[in-house]
Amino acid sequence: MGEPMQSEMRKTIVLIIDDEVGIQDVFAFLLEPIGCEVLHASDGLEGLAVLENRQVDVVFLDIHMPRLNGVEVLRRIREKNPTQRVIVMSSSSDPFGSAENEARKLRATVVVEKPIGADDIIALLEESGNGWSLPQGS
Amino acid sequence: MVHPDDKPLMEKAISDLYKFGHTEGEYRIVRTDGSIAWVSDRTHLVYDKSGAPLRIDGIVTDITQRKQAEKEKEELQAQLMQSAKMAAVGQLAGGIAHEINNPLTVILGFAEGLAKRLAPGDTLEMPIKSIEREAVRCGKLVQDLLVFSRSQKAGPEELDVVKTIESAMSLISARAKNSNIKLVRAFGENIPHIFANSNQLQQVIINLANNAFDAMGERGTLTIRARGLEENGKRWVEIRVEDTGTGIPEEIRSRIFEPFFTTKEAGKGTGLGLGLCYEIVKNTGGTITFTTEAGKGTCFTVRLPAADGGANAK
Repeated sequence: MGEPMQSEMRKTIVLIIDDEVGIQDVFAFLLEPIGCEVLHASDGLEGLAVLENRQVDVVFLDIHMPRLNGVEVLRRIREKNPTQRVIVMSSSSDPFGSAENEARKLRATVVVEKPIGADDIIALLEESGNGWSLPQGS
Repeated sequence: MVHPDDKPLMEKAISDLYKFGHTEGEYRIVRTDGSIAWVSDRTHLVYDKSGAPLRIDGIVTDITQRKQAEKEKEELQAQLMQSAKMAAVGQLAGGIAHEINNPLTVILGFAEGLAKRLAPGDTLEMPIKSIEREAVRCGKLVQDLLVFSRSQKAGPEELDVVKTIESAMSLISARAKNSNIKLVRAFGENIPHIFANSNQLQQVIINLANNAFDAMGERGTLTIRARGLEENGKRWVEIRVEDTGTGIPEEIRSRIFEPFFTTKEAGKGTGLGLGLCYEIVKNTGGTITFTTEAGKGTCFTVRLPAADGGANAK
């Protein structure tokens, strides 16, 4: 009987996969005070390792990263979890937008372009999950 | 008849003929049917036994085709140079966008996040809001630059040109009112729709209007026209932005579409306005041209292919 209450208390878990330390810091600064647990990974391989061990509500995924880029990370996420919410962040270094298009094909929840402000980040979190502060699937 | 603009050339040729006994020149003539031809004129004086001029012998050759070919070659070279410049700016823009958008996300995120935590009236509100505003400005500049790298992700859509111009008008009207400039709209009927990016087309209109305001100062008339037309079996939409300003000096006319070329003082213009217009119009399959007269004004003409009959409409 007490389980729904416990479930409602669970923090929303957000994983930031981005090689920019500043981006990781800003997400923590914005999201932790509003009740999220923010996990970090500095490249694609680290990000996949976190996802092996933790259930994450929303992934913010940068496209251009060392070792394993965002598109490849998304491809591997989709192989294991077709419904994982993944917000892909682009910084427009690709003149043809081919990485962004590839991410859309791989069913990214949404593809956004940096710079992203605080309101954008919170709005994306709200949009990506139906009632983001509640447990996934509720 | 010699073309009125080339009369000085003709007069110099005659003067040379009497001075040196022979002359060579190239100038335009107006044929009886009104068409214009280029001719090469080689003449020399024939003297009588006493040394007095007797007659003029010469050959006049029609060189219109050669001149046309030369003009086309020059235009092609100019276009190639323009394309090369745009490609260089595009490459640079794509590269720096990645490097700048990441730190901008950090700056914006922290500034907006801090602003939310301030109590009303906090003395830090102004500096933090300033950081936010200036970061947004940098982001806008990067977005503008990305037009040159063709990496704008928003695609074209079918647009009603008049509606798009009217959306741009709210900004233009405000500046016209402040500058005491008369604003005239002249829209034709049944203007066909076009395929373009709405924001970009508005940007073209606003950039052209802003330059017009700068050229007019504190008084004048800005006229924005739009009409549909058919040329060479294709349907086009033509937009004109006309001002009664100072006109564009001859020495800079060939450079106005170059990115970063500006006559405005530092801080007043990035030199991207017309370059962006050129790139946006070109990417939409259209053309942008201008006519200008010192002291009378400038008219920019943008032609875009109609959605239902344009050569490049997709």
